[in-house]
Amino acid sequence: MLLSVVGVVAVTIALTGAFGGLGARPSAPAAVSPGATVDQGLFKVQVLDARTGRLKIGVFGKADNKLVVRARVTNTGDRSWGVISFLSGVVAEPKPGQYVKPDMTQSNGDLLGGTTTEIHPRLPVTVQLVWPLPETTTPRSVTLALRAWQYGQAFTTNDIGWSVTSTSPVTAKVTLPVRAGATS
Amino acid sequence: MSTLVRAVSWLVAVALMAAAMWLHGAKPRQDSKLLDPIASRGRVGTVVGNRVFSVQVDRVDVAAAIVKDDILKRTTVPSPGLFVIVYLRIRSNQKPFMPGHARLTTRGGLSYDESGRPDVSGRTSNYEPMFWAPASYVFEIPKDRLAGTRLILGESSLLNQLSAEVDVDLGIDARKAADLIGRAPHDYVLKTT
Repeated sequence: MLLSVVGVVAVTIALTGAFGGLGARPSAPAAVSPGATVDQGLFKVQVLDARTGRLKIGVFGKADNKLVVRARVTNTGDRSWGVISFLSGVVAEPKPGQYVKPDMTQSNGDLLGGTTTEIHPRLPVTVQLVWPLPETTTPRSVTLALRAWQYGQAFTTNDIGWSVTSTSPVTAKVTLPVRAGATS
Repeated sequence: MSTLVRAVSWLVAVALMAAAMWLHGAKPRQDSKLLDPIASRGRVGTVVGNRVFSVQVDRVDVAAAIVKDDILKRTTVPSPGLFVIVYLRIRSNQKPFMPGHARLTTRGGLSYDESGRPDVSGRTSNYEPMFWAPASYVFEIPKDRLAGTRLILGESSLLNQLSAEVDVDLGIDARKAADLIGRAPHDYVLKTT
């Protein structure tokens, strides 16, 4: 009797382990289609569209060749974060394993047509992520890698909160077509 | 009988092991409060202060859109939620003082920094000892978070552990919030005097 119980427990543990254990995470980033919602931990992100062209961004911007990706971003945390913080969790992946950060000064947040630098809790913002391109480059499609924000203690202080670094795991990759020849 | 005792002791052992695993994984969230600023609490319309500075919130306005008139054109800045504009007066109690870490806290423990719109920003300056001088802050929040909002204001230093802070109840209950949202203007002009 006892032996059979021990046997069942042992087989259950072995099978659970063989299938990845309890609370296992997928080891590879999920490939997500445009428009689907990605949960980065701190932000819920819906990548909307991508365009290239000689675009002028901001009052003092130059009209040169750019790649612009729009994403609808909702802050699910309990305090406001800058658009810049969100940008540090997103990279473009032009070739597998090669990551390019978005341009921090040209990328911006947009609320009903007005610019904003903050992403407030539960107030979704459309973020325009900007990558400068060489004059002749017009990619057909772009892949975005969204990193997972992690909740934990800071390295130097005893503050506990959300953080993302350039070594954080990629939680999802979104590949979307690029509309060429955009003018605005 | 002995089978029952054995079964119960197994259950207790499993429960204790589960509790130990939970405790191992629990993050000491409260630790981060040990060095938080020390807040003095108060209400709208009254003087709230501490050794370093005092504030008095005079007025709270709510707007659906803020307009800004420049020489050549009028810019309208609409919000998908609400703008909350807080007018207050600040007095330093010791030495020249710069306010900082301003935020609006609300239901559900959410905390909102200043709006982050380049076109509409509040107005603060350096505050001298024993002089009351005006200040204003512009926040942007979802419509359903207006009731129960509080203004938190501290010192400007980047690391503000154990520094002075004020926590002012803006006096907006559910009924007043509904009233303010219903009357929120679409052509609000920030007051400068």
